[in-house]
Amino acid sequence: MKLILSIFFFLLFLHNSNAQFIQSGRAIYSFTHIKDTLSPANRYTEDMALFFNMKQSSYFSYTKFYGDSILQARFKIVETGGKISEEEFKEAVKFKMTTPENLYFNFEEGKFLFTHPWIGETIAIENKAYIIKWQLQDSTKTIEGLICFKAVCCFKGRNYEVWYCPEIPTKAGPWKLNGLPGLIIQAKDQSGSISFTLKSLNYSKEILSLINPPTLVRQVSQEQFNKLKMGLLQNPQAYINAAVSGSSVSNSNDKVEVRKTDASAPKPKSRVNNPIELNND
Amino acid sequence: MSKNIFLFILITILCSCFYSQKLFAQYQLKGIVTSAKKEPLSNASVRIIPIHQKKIVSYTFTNKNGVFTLELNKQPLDSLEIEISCIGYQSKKTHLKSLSFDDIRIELETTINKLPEVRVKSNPVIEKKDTLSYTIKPFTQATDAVIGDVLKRIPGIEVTESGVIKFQGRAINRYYIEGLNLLDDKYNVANRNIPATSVEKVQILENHQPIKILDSVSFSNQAALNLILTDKARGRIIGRLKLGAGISPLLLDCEINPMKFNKNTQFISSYKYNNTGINYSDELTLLNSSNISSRFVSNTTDNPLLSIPSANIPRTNTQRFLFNNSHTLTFNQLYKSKNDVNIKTNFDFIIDKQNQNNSNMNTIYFPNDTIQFKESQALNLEKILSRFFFTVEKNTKNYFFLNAFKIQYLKNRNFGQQNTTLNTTQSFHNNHISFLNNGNFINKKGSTLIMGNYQVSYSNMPQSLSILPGIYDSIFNFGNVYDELLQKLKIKTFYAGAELGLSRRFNNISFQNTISANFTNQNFTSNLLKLYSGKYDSVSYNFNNQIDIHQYFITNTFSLFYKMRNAKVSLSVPIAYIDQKYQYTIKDTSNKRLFYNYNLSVQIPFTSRISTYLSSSLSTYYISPYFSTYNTILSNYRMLQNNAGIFNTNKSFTNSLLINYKDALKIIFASIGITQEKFTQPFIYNNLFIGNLSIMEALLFNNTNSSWNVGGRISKYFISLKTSLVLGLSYKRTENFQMNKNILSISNVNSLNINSTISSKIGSMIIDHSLQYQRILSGINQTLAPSFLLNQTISNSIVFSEFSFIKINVEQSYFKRPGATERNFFFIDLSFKRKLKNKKIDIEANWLNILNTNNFETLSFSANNRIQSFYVLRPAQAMLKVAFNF
Repeated sequence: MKLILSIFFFLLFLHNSNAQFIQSGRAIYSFTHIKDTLSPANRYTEDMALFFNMKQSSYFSYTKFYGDSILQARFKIVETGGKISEEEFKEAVKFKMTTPENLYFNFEEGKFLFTHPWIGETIAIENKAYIIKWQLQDSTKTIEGLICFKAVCCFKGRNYEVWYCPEIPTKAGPWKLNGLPGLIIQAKDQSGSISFTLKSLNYSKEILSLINPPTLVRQVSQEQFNKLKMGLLQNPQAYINAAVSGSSVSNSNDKVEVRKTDASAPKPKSRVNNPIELNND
Repeated sequence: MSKNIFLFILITILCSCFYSQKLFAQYQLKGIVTSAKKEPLSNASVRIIPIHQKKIVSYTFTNKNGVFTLELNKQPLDSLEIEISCIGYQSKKTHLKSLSFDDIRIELETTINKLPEVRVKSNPVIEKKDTLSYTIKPFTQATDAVIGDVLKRIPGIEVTESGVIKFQGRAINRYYIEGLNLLDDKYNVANRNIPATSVEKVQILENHQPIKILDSVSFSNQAALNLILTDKARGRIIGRLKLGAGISPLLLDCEINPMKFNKNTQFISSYKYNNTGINYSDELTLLNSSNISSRFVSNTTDNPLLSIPSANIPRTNTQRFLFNNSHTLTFNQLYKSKNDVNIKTNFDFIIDKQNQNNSNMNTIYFPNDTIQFKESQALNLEKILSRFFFTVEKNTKNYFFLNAFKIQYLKNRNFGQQNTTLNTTQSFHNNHISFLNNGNFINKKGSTLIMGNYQVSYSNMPQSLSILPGIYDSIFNFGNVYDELLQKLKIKTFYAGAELGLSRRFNNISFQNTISANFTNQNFTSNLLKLYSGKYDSVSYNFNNQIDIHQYFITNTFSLFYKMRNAKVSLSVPIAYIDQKYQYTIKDTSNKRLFYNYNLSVQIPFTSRISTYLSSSLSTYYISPYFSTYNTILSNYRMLQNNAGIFNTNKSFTNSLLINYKDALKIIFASIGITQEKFTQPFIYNNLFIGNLSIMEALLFNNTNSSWNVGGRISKYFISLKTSLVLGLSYKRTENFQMNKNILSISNVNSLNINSTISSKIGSMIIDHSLQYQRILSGINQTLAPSFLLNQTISNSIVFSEFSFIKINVEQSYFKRPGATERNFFFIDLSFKRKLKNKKIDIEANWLNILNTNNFETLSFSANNRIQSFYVLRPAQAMLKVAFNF
């Protein structure tokens, strides 16, 4: 009898623990960007994920995350003696240009940092969180069954028009757009070059680990990071030479050089003439 | 009265002001939001909403302590509501009027009610349009002529000097054109001939497994490259025509390379001619060594045993010393049938004529004396190579089959005037013909894979060396003057081998086992003839060899690979059994032996910045059996070699440790390493000198040579200077046993190497400086003498515009050896490239060796031998080249 009772209480306890309330949400956005205004038909698209709870949010490339996790899962299948189809394999190893940065906002502490891969390492760049001056407008519209309100702002040199949903009470939003009293469902800039559109939204009863910034990364200031990045752009040849030669596995002292013959050629022109951030305001 | 009225109005105005302040004043709302358990809720959203309207008047969020403050401007209070919401809690809405403004207390109840969800409508996976491809336009310079020029510039891709393409440090395993593998390892042909303007995209297929059936079984860490052509380039003949001329004397550099790519048929062909010192034949080099067939011992590689001594190829630009006249032709075609069978034919043809004028000063140390002699030679080298490959391949998801048939003919005809104490005219002939058929198949039966490889080959390699007039009368013709000495030899080899493999993985460990068996039959004959009084005669029985060799070789290789977190361990242990039967003319011998090798490597990354790599290997191998000759062979005019029938087993034992360090933020990269190597042969040559003639007799001896190498390298990029600096330092010590005139001695070569590279950018000018300094101590039995060598190059490029640039190159080469004055050589080169604006015509001009340096010397060391080489160089030359793209 005791046993039955204890099992009963145990089950009750289990049931109780299942009745936990929602802790965090996961939104997937489709991000589009016309990087080169000379070829507007060539629109860059990428799926981006936003993980959020009341206190913090993280924003990163879902395409990359999805690709990496597929790859890992497929590796696991094969490593444990299983088999995957050719299509599955191809899907897993497909190479895709993705956004390298992950953005992390801590609303409570007013902190914002982003991580960036850097020659085989990941570094975290710490920034001050900023407050976007939103102007709330009276228009409403229903998107995907969500009642949304309109707000506008001027941010980093662009005028954004966004639709947010107060029913989902979070400050979070895609990319660096946040601070509204509801999740941002849709955002686009006035010129039509940039847009974020919600594709899917669901919740979890756990605090998703991906919300937290990685712990084992080195932190630098934005200034230091800009310096590193500029350094790379100024003379990439020399930079790569430094990287390749120093970490060379060969024990002989043969000269290791990268594309020396091409040092003479002019630097290729970047085809991004329309960056997301037009200024630093 | 009026006073009263005034006062009244004033009071009324003041009152109304106060009243209106009460009606439309600026309010500050202050409050706290908590859970039912009185825990403060942070970041809850607090919104002020007009009743019955879809609108937000104002909003704020609670702070860490659940406290919020909100200012309201000129709002009619009775029409407003306050709404508080927080994820995980039920939202609460209240009339503002009912609250005290500076102490609003709101409690939220937890909820398990779901928030509105949005289902994914389309699959969020990756759209295919921009997978794995680089649109090459951003990387293309107007001055780029062929696709290879562009590839070098794509991030992550590196093209080595020989043409091997690497992606993130690893050589690619396939080079596809429009998804078809037309050229296999000969992809230089595509890389150096397909016009850059004809390519739309370059795709990198990471972790590419070229054999489709293995896709789900074995992961590859190599990438493949695929060229996607522009619509204009598809289905029609495209290519380049280049014409170049210059002085002096009359120099020509021409090429034409038509090609056509359709969906199911492709061809690429190229013809090139030049006499300007460019070696175009390296375009036809087979670049990948990772092919399955190369795991077999190939007996079809060219291996001339006889030679006319000549100076080593100097380590400088080939265009300085190569006097050539060479034609290369290649034709490659692929046909893909409807049932996925690819049929390929590849044909190459090279005629290469070279003239060399060089000389060597040889210094050979002995314990008690030193021999020094100089030989100079004028050589005419002629090489004809023709090669034909026919490949049938079926590569589908369930089945893989490949059969390749190769036939190659190589003819060398070298003539030389050798001037030493003996003045001779020598000629060397080599006719090497080889056939090879190899294949592999993989079949899936249920869940098991059956894999097999096979190879059959035959080669015939007759060679001859003729020396006019006859030399060393006393040795070869009883002291009588004679007309010619002629060494002839012939090696015929038949080889057949097969291999079967199995592999299996358990979590972190994977095992592989491969069994291979092969059979070799080799037939070796050599005769030394003399032409005396009008007829050829064998010099002596001691100079004739005839061997018939049967060799069986069975190997079982067990490999293990273990991976835990980031550490990797791999071990492979081949166990081999060899059975050799030698039939000499005088007696038969045999050799049976069971032996093992191993190869262990451990990779441990300690932190994200430091990683170590440790490896140890033992490798025992039998070199081609024909080296075990019983009698003497004249390998060149001053060397007689006798291997005394000793079975030639080589054993090498290597240990190495490498530590890598990187700090990506400070942009410092460093590595240090140490390697120890022991190399053992079962014999030593006893070197007997008669004049300049060295007679090498093999004696049984446990001949272990050892070497140590310690080195380090550090590089740093200085952001403010836009400059990178690479500094390397290494020290190598080698010890070899020598036996000269029956006396055993130890020769040492110890070398200290320092090298540095500086690469910097000033405005539109790119400056590269590289320097190599060597201090070499060489000698015998620790009596060592120092030599110094220095090489440095400065190159300076100025970019005028997208369409043109100019490059100046200055090179210095210096050395000093004991007992001689220092030698110093300088070179200056200039080149200019320009593309005409219609992009169909490229113009290139260069002026090489402006200082007209006409001779060059180098110094090299091996064991107890120091060689100083002298070269006659090409004079200053100016060239103008025009290329048309069609």
